[in-house]
Amino acid sequence: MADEDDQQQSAANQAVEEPLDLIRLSLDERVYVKMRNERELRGRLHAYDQHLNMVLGEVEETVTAVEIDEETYEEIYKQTKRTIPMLFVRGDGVILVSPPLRAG
Amino acid sequence: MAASGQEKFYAQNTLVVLLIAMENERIKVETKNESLIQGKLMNCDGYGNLTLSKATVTNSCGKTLRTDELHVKASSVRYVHLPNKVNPIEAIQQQFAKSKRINTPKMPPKYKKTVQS
Repeated sequence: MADEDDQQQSAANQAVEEPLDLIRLSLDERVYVKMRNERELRGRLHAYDQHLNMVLGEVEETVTAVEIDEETYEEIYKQTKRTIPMLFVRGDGVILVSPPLRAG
Repeated sequence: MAASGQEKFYAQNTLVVLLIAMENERIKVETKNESLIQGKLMNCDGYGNLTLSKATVTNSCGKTLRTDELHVKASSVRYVHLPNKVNPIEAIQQQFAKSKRINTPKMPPKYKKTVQS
């Protein structure tokens, strides 16, 4: 019975039937998460749920701010980076989640 | 505490369970208005609303405010920094073991179908 359950579990872990199943394939891998307010996260995906709340480990957050040069009116992109060891991310701020291969 | 069915469902089926598992730990919360709140997590409901005690709020200008008790609305949360020592998976499993699961979620029928075929 336990074996059957395990088999069902592992088969269920492999099945891709809905978009969120694709994220499960990235569990325990490094992922790229684009967030609202020009924020980007790169980190190890420990857990997620249907709201795209996520738990990321060894996260590098990049915040991009645009400044206008006063003289030339050129747009200057200022990036600030920081690392956070373990982070819970609320799902409503998430725009996209990208699997490890494309996470540069 | 009279939690609605929906609240209980969220508490048992979303990552809110991890926040509930962090009760009595000191956490840092970043809010969407760019404030940083540090304090001890006293309570977290099924929606993820937080109650902190001995909280320090630092707003985006760097101004700080100390309060004995602070409620943070779930929708204003952007990040929660978890304590370093925490293993999220273990914490979730321990929390599941603690909470009485009245409605044990069944595996969705579609998965059963896949297994049989």
